[in-house]
Amino acid sequence: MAESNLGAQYFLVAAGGTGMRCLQSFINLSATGLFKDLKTVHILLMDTDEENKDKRNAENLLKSYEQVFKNAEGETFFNCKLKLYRFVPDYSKDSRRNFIIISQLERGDSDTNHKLANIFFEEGVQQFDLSHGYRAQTHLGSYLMYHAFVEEIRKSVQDNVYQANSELYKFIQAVSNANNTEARIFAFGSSFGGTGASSIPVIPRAISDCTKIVTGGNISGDKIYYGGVVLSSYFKFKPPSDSEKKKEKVIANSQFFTHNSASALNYYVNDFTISKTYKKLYLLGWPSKYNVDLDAYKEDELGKKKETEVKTITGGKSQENPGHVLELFSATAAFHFFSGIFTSKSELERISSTQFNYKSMGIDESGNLILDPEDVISNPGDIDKEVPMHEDFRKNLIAFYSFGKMVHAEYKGNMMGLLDDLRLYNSNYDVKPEILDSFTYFLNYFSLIPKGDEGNASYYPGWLTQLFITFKPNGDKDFLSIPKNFFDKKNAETWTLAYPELQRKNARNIFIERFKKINKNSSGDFKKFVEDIRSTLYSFKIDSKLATQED
Amino acid sequence: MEYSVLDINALKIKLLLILFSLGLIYAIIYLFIVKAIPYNMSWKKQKDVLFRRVAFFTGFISLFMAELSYIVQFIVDSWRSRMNEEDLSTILSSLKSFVLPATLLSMLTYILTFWLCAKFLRGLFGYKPWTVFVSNGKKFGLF
Repeated sequence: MAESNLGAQYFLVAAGGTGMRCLQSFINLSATGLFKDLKTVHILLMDTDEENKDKRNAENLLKSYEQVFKNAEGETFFNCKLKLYRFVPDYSKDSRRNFIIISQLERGDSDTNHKLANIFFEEGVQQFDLSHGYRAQTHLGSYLMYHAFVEEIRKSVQDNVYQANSELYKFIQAVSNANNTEARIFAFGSSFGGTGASSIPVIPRAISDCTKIVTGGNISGDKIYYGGVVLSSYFKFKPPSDSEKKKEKVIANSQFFTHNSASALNYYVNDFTISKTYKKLYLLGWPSKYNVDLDAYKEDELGKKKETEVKTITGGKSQENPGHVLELFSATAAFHFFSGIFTSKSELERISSTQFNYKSMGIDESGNLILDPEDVISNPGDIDKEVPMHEDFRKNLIAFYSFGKMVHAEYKGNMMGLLDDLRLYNSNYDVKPEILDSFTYFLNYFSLIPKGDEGNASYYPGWLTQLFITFKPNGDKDFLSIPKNFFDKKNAETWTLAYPELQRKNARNIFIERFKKINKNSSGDFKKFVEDIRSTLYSFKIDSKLATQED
Repeated sequence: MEYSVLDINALKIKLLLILFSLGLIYAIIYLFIVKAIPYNMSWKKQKDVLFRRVAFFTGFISLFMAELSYIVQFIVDSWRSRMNEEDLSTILSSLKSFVLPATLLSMLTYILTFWLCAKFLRGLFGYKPWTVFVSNGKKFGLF
């Protein structure tokens, strides 16, 4: 039975490249209004690779979100405050470049130190450059990440100036304060990679220990609940060449991701440090035959053939993977853990050993996976509602996506053109250009990212388009019960395709007529503009196929 | 044949009613025409509001022309067959000073009906007719 989580506070920890992309899914879903009940989510963005493009993208997306939220906090879109904290252990300096230096093996009895270290870590693992993350060496990563956490908090406690600049300290402090009522902490990260896979096992312990340091031990931690995703391998990339292996010594190889996932699962299921700390873990797997080929994706969609041919990407500016449905599932898993609709406090209190959750998807007669909105999010309790949760989610998601494409198709990506047209028709919205820029960035990232100058009608796939592209299993069939042409990355004109009412020659007229009918000659600020656009698109029926299924 | 003042007044009222009705009918017809001009969405300068204004003023001018040239002539012709030249000239001199104000009243009816429908009957005519009078938050897009 649904319970409200009065007083509960929500914390999200995103670690590593996969964690960042799960976070992007979470931010995007938040923009579409799914997390209204959460009100505020504190997000700790954690990576060892400062230059990682996935991390940069997540940061930029979150910054845009914050800017838009400040001006458009509403009932529908952008209705949950996301507060960003960052923690990036600095491995770029020579004094912290690898395990040997960080652990000071050369100090004191060097020989004994090395012998001890050799018991746990191979020589190559001790020596590789950490500036691109932990390179799937989770045993090393967990050790380093835990100590990076604790070291950062200790320094903060000892030094007020350091403390003022430490975002991790602020995050831990927020968790400590929330312990008075209830804190739910959810972790995003892969089980097969480096930073995320290293961090997830130690996050509860690290946060718990850090709250003790911050409060001087005056915290029980009994109202802090942990949840997380365990993502198994779902993408692959070119294995490193012999020369790369020789040069790097330790280098991520996606051929082993499946084995890594299997080992991690074994650990998560059997290890008491997990079962005693995590209340819920969400197991998310993917058929290996449908794994996303990153090199093919980058070649086909981004035109980056030459770059990927040169070397295997281990991190840095080039690590920018496409979004995937599993990341979307991760975001909704976090919502499942946070929301009182799905997870009550009393339920969390009753769980004594990690509860594992999973979801399954349907297959068609050919054995292909089918993704329906109910697979992403659904609430069995509201099935009798006029608009059940999954349909509300789908309508908002599609409205947001259509809006993004519409701005490209009709205004060459310049939203000011739409505002000018609406003003001409006596709907006057006062929007500052800088807010519009942030919103445009967000919408582009969500739908279609223009290549170079606006107006050349050529795009890179945005987030939802990426999900469609990487969701190969269903071949030519529909996605989220919407005709596949709607997700065409080359043609923004397809913004009308999800709505049968708009599939006519005069779609523009129908859209504005509906806009005027619903919103009348309204005027207002940016928030009103967003709400009015949303309510207009929301009012159109989506693809009759689903309606037929529901009937 | 003698025409009393009463007859002339009845004629005037009849004419007034016809012209008023014409103003009303023209307004309704052009409201639908204006409504039929679609909204547009484009990065280029929009012209649909201009087209609606053109349609509105076309209705206005065509009504004026119709009333002055054809309709009044039609009424006069229908009387000519039933009276002599002297009577006709008496009636015409009596109507002469009435036709112009009556026509103007009809034009006013056209404008007023259009305006009232554009402002208050949006359920029927939508928001397009209003853009004839106000766009960009300015009267006729200018003031």
